[in-house]
Amino acid sequence: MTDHLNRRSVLASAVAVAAATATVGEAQAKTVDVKIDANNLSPEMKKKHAVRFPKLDDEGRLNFSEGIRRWQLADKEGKAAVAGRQAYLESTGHSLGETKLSHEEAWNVLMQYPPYAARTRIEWANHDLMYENMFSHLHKNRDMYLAAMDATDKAGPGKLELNPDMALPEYTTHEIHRMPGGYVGDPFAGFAYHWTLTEAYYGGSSRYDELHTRMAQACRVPATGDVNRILDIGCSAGMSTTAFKERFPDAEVWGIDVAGPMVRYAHHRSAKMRLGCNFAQRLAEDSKFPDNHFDVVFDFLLTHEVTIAAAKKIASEMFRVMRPGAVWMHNDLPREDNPKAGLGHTIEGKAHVWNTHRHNYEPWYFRYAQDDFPGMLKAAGFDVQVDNDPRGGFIAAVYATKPV
Amino acid sequence: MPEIKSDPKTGVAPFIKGDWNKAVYLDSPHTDNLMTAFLGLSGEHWALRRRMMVLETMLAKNKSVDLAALEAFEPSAEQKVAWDAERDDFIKRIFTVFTRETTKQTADVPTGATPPTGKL
Ligand SMILES: C[S@@+](CC[C@H](N)C(=O)[O-])C[C@H]1O[C@@H](n2cnc3c(N)ncnc32)[C@H](O)[C@@H]1O
Repeated sequence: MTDHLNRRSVLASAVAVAAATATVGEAQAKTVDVKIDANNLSPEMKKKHAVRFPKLDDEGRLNFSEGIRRWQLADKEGKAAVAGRQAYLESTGHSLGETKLSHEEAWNVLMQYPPYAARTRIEWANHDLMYENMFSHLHKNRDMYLAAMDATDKAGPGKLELNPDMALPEYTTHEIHRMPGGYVGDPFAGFAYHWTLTEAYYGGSSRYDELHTRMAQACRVPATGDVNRILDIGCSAGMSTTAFKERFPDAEVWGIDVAGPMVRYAHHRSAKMRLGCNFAQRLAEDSKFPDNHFDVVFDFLLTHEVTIAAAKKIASEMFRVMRPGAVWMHNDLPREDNPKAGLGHTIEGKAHVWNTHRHNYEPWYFRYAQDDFPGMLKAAGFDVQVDNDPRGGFIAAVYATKPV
Repeated sequence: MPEIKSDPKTGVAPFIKGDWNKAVYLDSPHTDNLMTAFLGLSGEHWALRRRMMVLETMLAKNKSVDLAALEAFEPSAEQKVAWDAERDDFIKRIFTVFTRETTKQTADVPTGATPPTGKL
């Protein structure tokens, strides 16, 4: 059987890719800082990041899910759809302003409106279909994918550390995003997570991990300019981890995640890209790294998936492992009072939060959306600054600097 | 409660099974199931159409098709854009039906002129 990453000739050398796509920045003399324009990726860079299905029909099925996702996002926010929802709410005696209804009640009100209910059904049916197609492909080709990971587990480049003795906190073992088995319960969770995102769920906007490249490229560096060690917490499939290694090829880059299958795939992917990132199955709140160790810390979409107690511990643990002057770029979903994100305490805003929490199966998002993570960072001792979203969207990047 | 530990080789650990696949969003589980099956069928239809576009491209070029090459085919940048646009159009035509506005019909047909929707 064909090697899954070789179906259409993947480049072997990442060095050649970096040289072809990038110029070395001059600002930080000590640190090699490779500039990559995510909006203008070279063919080599695309090849290196592309996902490869051995079967055309499997690719076609996910391509369909991508289309539904694009349609559903555009259709739901279309002028007529928004006006229809508002007219429905008004005609049924509901206010368009703030509401005292609970989140679930707000969702129930809108679910009485047939177009909203149909969109919701299509949204989740598509989500489930996408995972079903993906996992059925992976399990049908089980031996090939297991052998592929076996081959890179030890060979690298980059270390892989699994921790069978580590106790997983229960809160990390839910089927978040309705993904069968969650992050921990299926040996192919990493493949499924990465491939469904790039081939479907991002609607084609991050087919070559552009989103992660954009964030890593935008990340500020410590005032001294030296970036020798980087840590990506809750790294999942390692798309951000590799984006940092592409920017800082000389740095020691670590991705940690509580889920064994995620770090195993992340390591496999990074090794196939010849990048040499290191991955470990560890907890962000108990990372086992030495004090004052990292120059840059990064997280994307981690904190809304942990309990508030864990979020606080993560803030103080990162304070411990960062050296004075080190920078943490934190990126996560907006709080529920963020009007830019179309949220707010309206029926529509509350229904959206409920739909995400209960139906995208985000058990910890509901509390997160009402809490204040930047405040927790301040309480842990950081200087905190909120910056514009490097993706041009509504997720603000929060910079936490450890005072010198 | 016993501690949750993961497999030393695969990293797999026990997980908490969710109830997400038990939800009913429409007026009856049967309607939900029909909509879900319809979505799956549409996906199969699209995958087949895409396969046919690959076949046609290869036949037009080589007059014959090698199955391994068929599976390995990658659309050109222009084809990718055109095929995705065709897909988006296919989806829009089919799925917008589900989100149309509906009202309880009045006893008789509506009266009053409506501005023309397009010019000849
Ligand atoms: C939404 S994903 C993160 C996406 C990823 N950062 C990226 O850039 O694509 C959340 C990840 O956090 C991991 N996670 C959850 N709680 C964790 C914890 N306490 N410590 C480490 N990882 C955790 C999950 O296993 C999951 O892989």
